[in-house]
Order: sequence, then structure tokens, then C-alpha cells
Amino acid sequence: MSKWPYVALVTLLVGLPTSASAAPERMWAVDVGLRETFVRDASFDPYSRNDLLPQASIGGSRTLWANDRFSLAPGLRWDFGASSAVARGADTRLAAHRLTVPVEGRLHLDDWLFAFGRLAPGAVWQSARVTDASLAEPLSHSGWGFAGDLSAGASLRLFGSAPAFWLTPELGYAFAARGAGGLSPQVDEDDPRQFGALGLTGVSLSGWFFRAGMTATF
Amino acid sequence: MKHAYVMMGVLLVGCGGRPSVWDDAPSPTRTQVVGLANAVALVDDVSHRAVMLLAREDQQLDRMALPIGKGVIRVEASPDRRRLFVLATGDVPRRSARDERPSLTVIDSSESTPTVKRFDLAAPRSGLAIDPRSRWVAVFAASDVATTFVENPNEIVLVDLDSPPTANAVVTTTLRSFGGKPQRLTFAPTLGLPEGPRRLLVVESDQDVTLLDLDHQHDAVPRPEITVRLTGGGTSKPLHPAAVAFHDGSPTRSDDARIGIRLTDDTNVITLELAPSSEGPNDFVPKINLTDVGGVPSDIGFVSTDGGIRLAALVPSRSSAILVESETSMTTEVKLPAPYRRMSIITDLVPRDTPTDVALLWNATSTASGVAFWALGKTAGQPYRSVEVLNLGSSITNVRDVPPPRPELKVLETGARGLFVLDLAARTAAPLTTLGTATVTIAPDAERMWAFQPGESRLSAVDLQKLHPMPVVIDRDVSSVHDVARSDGGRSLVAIHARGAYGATVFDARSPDTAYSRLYSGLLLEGLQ
Repeated sequence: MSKWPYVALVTLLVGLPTSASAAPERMWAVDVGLRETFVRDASFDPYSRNDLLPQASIGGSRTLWANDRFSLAPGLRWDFGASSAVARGADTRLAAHRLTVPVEGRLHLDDWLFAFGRLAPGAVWQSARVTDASLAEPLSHSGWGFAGDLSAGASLRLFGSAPAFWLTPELGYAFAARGAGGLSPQVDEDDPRQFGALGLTGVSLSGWFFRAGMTATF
Repeated sequence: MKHAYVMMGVLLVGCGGRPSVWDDAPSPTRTQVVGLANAVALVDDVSHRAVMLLAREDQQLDRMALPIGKGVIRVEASPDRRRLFVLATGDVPRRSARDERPSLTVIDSSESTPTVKRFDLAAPRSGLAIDPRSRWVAVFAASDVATTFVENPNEIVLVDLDSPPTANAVVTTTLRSFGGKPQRLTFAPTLGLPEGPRRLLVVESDQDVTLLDLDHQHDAVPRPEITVRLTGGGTSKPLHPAAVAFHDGSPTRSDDARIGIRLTDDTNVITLELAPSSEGPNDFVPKINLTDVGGVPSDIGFVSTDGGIRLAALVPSRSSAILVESETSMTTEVKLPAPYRRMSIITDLVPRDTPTDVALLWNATSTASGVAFWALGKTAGQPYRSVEVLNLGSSITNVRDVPPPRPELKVLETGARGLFVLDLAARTAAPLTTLGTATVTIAPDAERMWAFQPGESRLSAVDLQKLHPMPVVIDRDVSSVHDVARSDGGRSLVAIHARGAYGATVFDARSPDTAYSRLYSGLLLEGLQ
């Protein structure tokens, strides 16, 4: 595993200033952003040329506990996106919806800056589809699996106070259980034909990810 | 803030790609489909593997990928369809020790789980000759595909398939050449030679014929080859061999095995009698006999007649067959009712009263020629003149053998619309009409044949006992069909669809019902992750 994310995180935290005005407030936070997951697993190769899974991200949290410069904010998060490619002439697409319940611990360094660490257990729904000329109907498979994120980042206030708007970069590792393999044609239920499954391995969407978002707190 | 950008940069720079195989679509030019006895092989040169399709019960299809060499230049199955041979160039140019060498990959599908052996070769070669008895494979530089800047066409690499894939299994020999380049290699059947029965490799170059003793190739000093230079009687003009035929002679003798040679654009035929020799390392020496048959022969074969063994040569320009007695060069002309170009010996397949041979004649140019039965015994006092014609109303372009237990059946292809099923025992020919030019696949269990038109979705099964055709509904274009054995003792028909990443439709071959067929797609997408 690369040491770069750890080095960067430590550098980020150590290099930040502290201030007496950094005491946390109990607040709501809503954010939107973009997430890129770097999926090195070979099972992802049919669906991506560059190992990247781009996703949009929507989340919200509420500060439930605060003490000194520390606070804890649980929330909900939805990451959704898809990757498309052409694999050996076949059109492929993998869509993923990731629903997590993040628990975010914050270190308030100043009134314009806080760092956070986030543990986010949840579930991922992934849908794989392959359209190949050897069969008129596309083949697909979808299902739920366990997922979780462990990440760290910081929020930098750009403007405003109530609401305040923050730029939030985040880096972490995403874990996702491997989906089931085998894709079947999308045919009507009363289609009498029997099909053999396309034996593509189920995809594991685990990997390092980066997320950048805009957070509004109030 | 800049740290976040640094990290994002680190993440993006670290992004990888995927193996290039995903970016190359399968194509008929780089994917070859070969039907074997127990499997269908999709030889995919892009992914350097052969995907074996193994039929299971309930029309299930197991897929198994086996590695093959890079740069496939020739793919062939053994005559018994139990082995698949793949010649590959390896990495060209070879820059590191990890790069692949040229190789011959042998996939054996005799068992329910195919196995693979790879024999490394010193240099890439494109020519392949396979021993019908599956003991040897000969690799040589075929004239149609050049693989290296400099090639020695007379270097023959013999691979002993009974040996493990070590260096000892590969025997390289360079034929003594008088300027000729090998064109065809043929493994002779076991011939009775003075020191005992043995196998020979016959190499036809563009101007001579070479005999190589296979059974002594593993000797510390292998026996040298014997080269027979082919020239006309009174000139130095080289003669070009076109085909060879073999006869072991009398079963009680070891000095009368012989080889017949047909020549290109020449009216002579040559017989080589392998007589005993006390000189040199070889125990035989070929005695050459050149006989003019009065026209360019289109086919030759040794036949047993009332007068003994003769070399029969079909001479279409004379509408004749010429029987040559090799020892004396005496010829007997037998007029035929049509200029037949091809001949098959069917002696063991037809009822007969005499020990003489019966030949099937076909491929005459006139539409009324059909096929003819030629009895080589005396009939009504006229030797060799019993020719019985089955007028089929069209010329026969190809004769397909039906394996045991129905070897008496032959499937006759006309090159146009229509087929015939010839029963040699009853001497009947049943016509089957088709809507287009049919491609025929005969089931190895001899119970049925399959007729289809490549690129179309028309497929029919024909019961070879009742000659009952049954259309089989298939919803995709068919490129080839293969009747393969299943591990449960049944048989499956695997119809290949060469579109996209290739698909297949699987039927129970003995009861092909669309209601119980199973469709597969994207076969060449699998097994790469």
C-alpha cells in the first residue's frame, strides 16, 4: 500500500495553525462534491480504461458532541456514479450507488479551518451491464454488498458565516465487498430461451479515493 | 490547501490503465475456431490463449482458457480431433530472457479436462505436418509465410509427442538439398522394410523427394535421409512432385513396400520400390521407376488387381485410368465414362466376391458424371473394366467420409445447391436439396450430419440412417457448427456465432430441440480479469 496518503495527511495537519477562536459550534453541515475512486482490482478492467470510478457525492451531518476543539458529527452520505468503456468490442457500464453512515471526528484549528477523520460503514449497490454483438440483448447483473470508507480531510471556510461555505478536500480508502459474478441477458420473464451466464468476475470497488466538495454549515 | 492538490495529483498520476487485451476486439482474422472430439477451441491470438468450450449435460458449456504462444501463425487439429496444435512466433524481436521463444503448443482434449504442453523452438516456422497416428509433428518453413529474415527451408523440426516437452522431444534435421525447398510433408503408414516395419517421413520439395526414417531419429547418430532427385528420362529439367501414395506390398514380404509419386504438369508417374540395401546406414534403397501415362494425372493410388499391385493414375485428358506395373513399367489403359479427377479406395466398405480393390471415382467436369464404382477384378473376361456409374445430374466436388459405424456412407458435395448421401453397400445415392450452398459437418458418431450456410441462421440436422432432415431454429448467424462428445456420454452441438466477443448456441445433438437449447455470448470476454 502506498505511503503517500499518510505522509500527506500528517503534513496537512502539522502544518496548520491553531487559534483560540477555533472552539466548535454545534452545526448542520450539507455538502456536495465529486469523488474519484482508484480501483486497481482487475475485475474492474472491463468497465474502465483508467481504473477510475467517478462519482457525485451528497452528504449531510449534525454535530452531536463538542468539547474544547473537538467535535463529533454523524451523518448520511450518498455517492453515485458510473464508469463506461469498450471491452474487446463490447460496450460496458458499471454503475455504483454507495450509501454510508459516516461518523466524523473534527479538530477545529481555527474558525475558518477544521480537519476531520471519517469512518463510514454502509452498503454499495452496483450494476454491471455488457452489450456485445454476439447477443441482441444486453447482459447485466446488480446487487448490494457491504461497503465502508475510512478517510481524512479538512474544511476551509471560503465565505459566509450563517450559512458558511467551505471547501472540503478528502482522501481515504474505500472498502467494498466483491459483487457476484455472472451476467445474464435482460429479457422478458416469459422469454422461453435459456441462457448461459457471461462469466465476468464480480467487481470489488475497493481502493483509494479522493473527494472534493463544497460544504455549507448552518 | 496546496497539500490537497498535491495529494490529488499523486492520486491521479498513480492511476493505472488496463491490459491492452481489453482494447482489441476479437476478429475472424485473429480468432480461429477449431472443433475437437470433446471440445471446441477458440484460439484467440490477441489474448494468447485458447478458450476451450467443454459441453456438459443440460446444454451447459464449461469454459477453460489455456495459454498458447504469442504470434499465432498456424492452428491445426490432429486427424482424430483429439489434439490441437498451435505454432507461434513468440516475441519478435526477442529483447529479454523473459520474452517468449517460438513455440509449438499442443492441447490434448482426450480427457474431460484438456491439458497443454509447450515445446520451445529455436526459430519460428510456419509449416506444420501432423502424423495421422499422433506420434510426430513436423515443423518446417512453409513457403507461403516467411517468419524470419533468413530461413533454411530444409531444416525440419520433428517433435515427438510421446515425449515430455523437453529438448529431447525435439529433433532438428537439415535435409541434404540440391536446390529444392520442401513443399509438403507426409507421414507414411507403417511400411514393411528389411529390418522390420517402420515409419517414414516423406518430404516433397519442388524438385525432389526425401525419405526420413522416423524410428531412428532418437539414435545417437540418426540415420540420414535419402533424397531422390526427380528428373525426366532424357532431360535435366526438374520434375515437381504433386502428391504421394503408399503401399506396403505383400504382408509376407519386407522388400516390396513402395511409394507412388504424381507430378505437376507432367505425364509421368514415379514409383519408388524400397528394396533391401546392405550399404550405408539405411536398410533400404529406393529403386526408381518412371512411367509415362499419356497425360497429366490428377490422382494416383495403389490398387490390388487380379494381376497384382498396380499404381492407378487417373488421366482426365484421356477420360482414362492407367494401371502401372511398377517393376516393368507396363501400363494398361481403362477407358472411363467421364474424365474423373479423384479416386478413393472403398474396398473394405462394399460387398465383393474377389480380393481385388474397388475404387470410387468422382469430380469429373461433366454434370452427368456423378460418381462411379470401379472394380479392379475381371468382369465378363474384361479386366478392370467394370465401371458402374451413378448418374447424379451434377459433378461431385468433394466426398466426405462418414466414420464408423457407418463407413459405407459418403456425403457427396456438389459445390452448388444440394447434397447426396451415397450408400456404398447398396450403391444408392440419396439427394438432399438445399436452399443455398451448404457446409456440412458430420457427427463423429455417424448418426447425423449438420448442414448450414455460414453467415446465415439456417441449420438442419439430417439423420444419416433415415435421411430425415430436421430444421433447427437458431436466432443468430452461424459461422461453424461442431458435434462434440460430452463427459456424460451424450453429444452436444455447439454452433459458433463469430460476432462481437463470440457466442455459441448449444443443443443436445441427438435431440436438437430449440426449447432446450442454451445461448452463450461474450465468450472471449471471460477469464481475462
